[in-house]
Amino acid sequence: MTQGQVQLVVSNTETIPGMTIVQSLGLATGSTVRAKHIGKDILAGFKNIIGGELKAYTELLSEARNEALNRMLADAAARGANGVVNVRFATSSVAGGAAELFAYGTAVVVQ
Amino acid sequence: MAEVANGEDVLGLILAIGIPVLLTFGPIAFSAIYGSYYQKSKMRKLLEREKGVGGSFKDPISNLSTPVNDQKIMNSSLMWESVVIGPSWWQMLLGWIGSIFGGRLNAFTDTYDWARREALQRLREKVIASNFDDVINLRIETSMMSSSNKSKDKTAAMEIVAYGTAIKYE
Repeated sequence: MTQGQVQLVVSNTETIPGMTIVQSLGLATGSTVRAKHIGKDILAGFKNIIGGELKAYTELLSEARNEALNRMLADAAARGANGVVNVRFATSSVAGGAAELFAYGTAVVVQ
Repeated sequence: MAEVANGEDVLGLILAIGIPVLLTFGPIAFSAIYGSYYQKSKMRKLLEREKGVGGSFKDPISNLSTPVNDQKIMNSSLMWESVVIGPSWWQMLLGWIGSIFGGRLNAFTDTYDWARREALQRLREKVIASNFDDVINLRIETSMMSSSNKSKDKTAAMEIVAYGTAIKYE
């Protein structure tokens, strides 16, 4: 995964497989709040009649999660890290139709 | 003549009752019939895909924090895939009725089972397409996307995200 010029190794395990952690630089976080698009919402409402996957929302949340992840990586890169370990995702719904996506992990220097 | 008038009366009666009944129960009947057909066809497609990836060789996904075999690891990367799922109106109706009596709610089981497996299957396909060998430390997270009881928003969506660390052996 790349962020700007720095190549960051991202992992949700406590260590990065095949590498050793030299230094821990604290928690790196990134979040974004996205609201549903009204047009997509109407389409999703129709799709809800028969159930199944709501593709519009899947795309929306994927985009948002990528953004949260990228912000987390930017935060880590700003501390001079070259890796983020133990990454976790969290989601919470803010007022009607908006969702907050949050990604956090420990910024580390690996070798 | 009286008989003809009678026939018209019957037709009128059928229309007068039929149209409101159709408008009231039409969408929910459509939801019940087409919805279950649609979801079953999705499940069949998923079963086919699972055979293609998981059946022909070993499943790359595990939730252990370290890989089982001691091979050297060349590189690794975080990978995730998500699915947003909504139950159909018919299932929500069944769920609402079921919640009066409590107990097991079969209506939702298949849909949520499908969604979880679909998310995992997408992760498998993505990992294989990106030329990784295994996924370790898999986590599955679930979140409700909408709707508070107060809002008039009728969509009930649940997001399932599966993420893990993909690794490539040397």
